[in-house]
Amino acid sequence: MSTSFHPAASPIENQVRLPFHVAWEIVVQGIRIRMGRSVVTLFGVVLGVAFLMSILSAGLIKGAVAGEIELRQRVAAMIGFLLADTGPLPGKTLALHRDSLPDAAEDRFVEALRKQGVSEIVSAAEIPALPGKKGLGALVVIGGSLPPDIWEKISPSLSHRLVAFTRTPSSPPAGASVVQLQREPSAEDLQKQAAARKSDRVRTIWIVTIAILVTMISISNALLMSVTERFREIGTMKCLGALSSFIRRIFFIESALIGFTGSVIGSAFGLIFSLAVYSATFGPGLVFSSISVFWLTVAYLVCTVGGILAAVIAAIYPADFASRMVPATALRTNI
Amino acid sequence: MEVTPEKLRALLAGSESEGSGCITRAVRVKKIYRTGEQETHALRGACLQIRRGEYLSIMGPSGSGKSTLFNMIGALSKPSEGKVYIDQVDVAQLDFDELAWFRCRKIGYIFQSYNLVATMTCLENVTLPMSFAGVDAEEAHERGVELLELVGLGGRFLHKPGELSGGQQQRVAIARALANRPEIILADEPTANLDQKTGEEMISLLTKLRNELGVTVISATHDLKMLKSSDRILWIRDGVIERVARPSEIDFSSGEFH
Repeated sequence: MSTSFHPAASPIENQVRLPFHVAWEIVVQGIRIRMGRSVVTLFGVVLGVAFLMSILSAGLIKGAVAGEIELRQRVAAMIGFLLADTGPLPGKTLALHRDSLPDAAEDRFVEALRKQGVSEIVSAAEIPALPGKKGLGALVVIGGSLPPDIWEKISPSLSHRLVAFTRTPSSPPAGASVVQLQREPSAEDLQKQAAARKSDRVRTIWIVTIAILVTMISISNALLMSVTERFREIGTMKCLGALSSFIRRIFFIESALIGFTGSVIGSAFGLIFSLAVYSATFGPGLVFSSISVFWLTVAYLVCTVGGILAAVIAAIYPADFASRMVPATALRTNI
Repeated sequence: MEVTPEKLRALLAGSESEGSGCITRAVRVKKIYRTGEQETHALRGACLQIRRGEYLSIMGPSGSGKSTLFNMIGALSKPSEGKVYIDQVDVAQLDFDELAWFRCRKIGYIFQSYNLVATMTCLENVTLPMSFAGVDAEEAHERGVELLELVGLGGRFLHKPGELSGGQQQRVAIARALANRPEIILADEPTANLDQKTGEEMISLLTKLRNELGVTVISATHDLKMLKSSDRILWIRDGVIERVARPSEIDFSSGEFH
């Protein structure tokens, strides 16, 4: 009487695997026929991701520009301190001793010295090879310590026995007039900076979270509309033998497609927007010389991938809603 | 016309009482819908046997349980109580995916409002169920062309449903219903949206397919012409099968048809 029915596993899997191209076509055609709303949804994604990207890239640009400005100020201050003691540099010869690896500011400082019109910069270590070298304007030490032997070698050549350290000197040579070109920031300053960075980061995370949520809700909403609009179509396909997973896939593909397109465009918009705004504020020269292409590319990828992920997550509920639909809905004529 | 209980039972049982002659069998099927506190008994124990190759029409006013019965024998939903066997298979034992598999291969659906996928061409609409069944694209294409020619839509493979008349759309729907060589064709008011003449064409097409392909046709309809050309007519009222009769036994001029 009761005949049990167990279709072999393979036919059902066949049915699951095969029609990816069918799902793809249905999605593309579905988007095309609902172009107006798809474009509105796309705009939602573009705006959301553009906002995200503008926040991220603005942070990067701001950091880079601020770093560049600080660097320039530090170099200018160092040159200023040096000039106060040596007087105008043009025509003078300076001895240079590299005590430790120079940081960015110290590199720039050496460059800046050359630009000041210093006639020659000799390396302090090579002084023995230049016997009788007289009239050195000053000894510039990149770092904080000066080995006594170098000082002994070089001091006879210095006209004013002037030594300029770029960092806090650990054992300044006796009998020399010592200049410290940079001050280490105080602990209080460091603390203030850290606190400012922290509150900045919290605010950014908050804004970014809101942006992502708004984008996801708008995608979810648009997809739900698309589900209710397609009730009959979905029901019909279920009557024709479409599995729930196939229906679910249609909505995931649609969402991912919109998410991808929207994210690529939105990230580009966000980047262009923040570049334009910062160029207008600081001048394009400063902005484009200080930004890091690598980190902006990373931010672009993060926003694009984030946008696609958000779109796919937003599709979970609508896709599930559609896949749970009863096939008999197709028979109802009042929808 | 008088219907004796014996005659009714004989009609309900069909020509053979059990076994292979029956394509669909419903045994004391009940369906109860619950909306909050309220229970709606859409079917209160319907029994029914449909022979292979039969052309059965189901009649009933709205709210009679006609759609519910139709859904049961079309494997679109499961009964709350009782059993439905389609081609020897107990539908209640299938899960959702197995039901989909089953519908895909055993049953072809024809809808009142055609329900073609508007974005696809006629041929794509016909090949859609075949791609769900895992038929390869080339074979599906070939069979799709064949089927569209069979329903008389030779040169219109690449038209979109919107470019066709209602009758032509319903022909595409019939071709689609036949895509996976189903045993049963389930038609829900297939002529309701068509004019008189097109409706008649549709009826003769269905009759022809029944005769040539040996498929069982089950339709819910109020169309007199359709009722007249069917093998048996089934009345349902208040969730109970009230009467089953052959068209020859029925006086179509009586009030219940008007």
